[in-house]
Amino acid sequence: MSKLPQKKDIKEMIRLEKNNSALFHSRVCRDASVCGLDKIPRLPEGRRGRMIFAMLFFAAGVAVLLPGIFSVARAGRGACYGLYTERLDAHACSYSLIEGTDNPFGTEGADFSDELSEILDGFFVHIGEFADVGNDGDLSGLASGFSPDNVVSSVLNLLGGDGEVGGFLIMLFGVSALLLAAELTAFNAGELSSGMTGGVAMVLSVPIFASVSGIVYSVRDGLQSATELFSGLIPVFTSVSAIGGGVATAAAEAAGMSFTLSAVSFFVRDGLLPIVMLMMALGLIASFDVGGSVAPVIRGAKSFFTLVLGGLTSIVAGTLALQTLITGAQDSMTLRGMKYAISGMIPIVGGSVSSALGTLASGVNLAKGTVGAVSLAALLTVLGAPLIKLLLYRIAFRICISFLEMTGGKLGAGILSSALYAFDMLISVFAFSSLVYVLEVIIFLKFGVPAV
Amino acid sequence: MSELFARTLGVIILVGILSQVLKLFGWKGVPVFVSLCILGIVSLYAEAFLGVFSEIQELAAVGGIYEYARAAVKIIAVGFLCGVLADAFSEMGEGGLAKSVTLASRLEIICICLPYFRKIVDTGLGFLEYSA
Repeated sequence: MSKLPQKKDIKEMIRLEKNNSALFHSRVCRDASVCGLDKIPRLPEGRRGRMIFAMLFFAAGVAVLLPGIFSVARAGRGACYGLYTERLDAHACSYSLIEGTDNPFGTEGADFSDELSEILDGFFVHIGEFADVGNDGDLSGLASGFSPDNVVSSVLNLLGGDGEVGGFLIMLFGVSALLLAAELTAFNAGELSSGMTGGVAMVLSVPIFASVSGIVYSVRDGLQSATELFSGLIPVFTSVSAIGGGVATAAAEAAGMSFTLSAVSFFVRDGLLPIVMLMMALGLIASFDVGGSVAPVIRGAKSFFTLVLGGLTSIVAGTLALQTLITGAQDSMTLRGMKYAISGMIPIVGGSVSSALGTLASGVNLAKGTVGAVSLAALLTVLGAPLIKLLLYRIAFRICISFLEMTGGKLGAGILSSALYAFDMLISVFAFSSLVYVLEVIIFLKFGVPAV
Repeated sequence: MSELFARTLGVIILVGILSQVLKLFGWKGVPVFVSLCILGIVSLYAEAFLGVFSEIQELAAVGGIYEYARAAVKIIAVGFLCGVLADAFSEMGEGGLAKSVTLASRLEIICICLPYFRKIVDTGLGFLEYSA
């Protein structure tokens, strides 16, 4: 059995270590005095390490920045819109920090403002396909969609007798009244009561689930629109970040957003929505399932849904966290390094070019703010209306279930609850997808272009 | 309390007392008398029932489910009337007739539900096709 070190042993070990360290330092200092290195002012221990690390980082950053800035800018913009490709080829993907200045890398200077304005033009055309935005960037239509008056009036329109949700509520009230009538009169029907209530439930479950399936399909279309809108935004985001010199940011954004988009699209289309539909089918069967044999299957589907949604949330949260970690810091450091390098390398105008880099970042930051804010507004326009509608449908369900529970209509409450459960799953899928897209835009707004 | 409800309650109390008195006198036709009275009481409510169901059907028509509401009302009416009839026959000691009424009404309910069963299967298959 091994013996544990005692307190005195530990003290002895510390003393020996100190002696060795002192001996080592005295040797280094003696050698340094021979070479004259002791004249160099020495940094404290911690700062020296950080300085060496920063210098290594700076060198690596400069090495990465030069080829990287061209490749990412070309990849980002090339993927953005087909119409840019020809122009980029004509320019041989030339890139300059400021307009009309021959840059130190020997390539011909491109018109930076033209490049940026073309990207913004394409961006507004893309946004205009989904939301009310003029090609010249007129945001009044988009902004008016968020005014409280518009939101309230659209909610009232939906709730009105001729509105979508209003009509659904009236239908649901009719169904509830009939289910209640069947259940109450069944007390007098003796042996026939179960057949009577089962028959009424079977007949009335058809309009309930048919209405809900219509809503599911409209939600699926809404999600499809949001996915198309967001997939068109990714190249714009990366282009804006790349133009601003955010190489790592652009790369992280492109990778993170593409992964998030594909993961969310795949899981929602092939995982979550099919489970919701399966729940609908099971709910339909459960509505006239007297023995309750479908209940375990419903519980299983519910567990599977929770598992898939939980896993997907973890994956997306991890990707977003990684994206947040990668972006920002490295680009800021490399850009600072580039600023100092240009200042030292280019004679006479080096200082001007160096200070222009800051101006460039400010200009791109402005573009980034515009792109981010308009994208956020467009996404909210595309996602907000279906979400409000879904919540109003849910309220309609809850009103009728409460009415049936108050009046003792257990059968009707059970049928509507099974439909509502599938509906809740649908809302959670939609809200999750919306949240991911909005978070991606927020990350872009926060980390799009590094400060210099 | 509505007038109809008060009247019906009064009739039920009178029939109850009368049937007990007739039993004391040893009259053998008491079950027939009670069954006829039950049918009479139900017929008293028939108008009110029809009013309620027509209102529900109107509500359903506004909601766009008139066809379904009509079928549901049919099922309720068949179930209720045949249930009352079966109870009356049971009261009279005619168990066979009561069972026949029950069977006939079940068949009628199945006949009413049958066209909708196809729709249920189609809706369910639509859900499953999407999830597959």
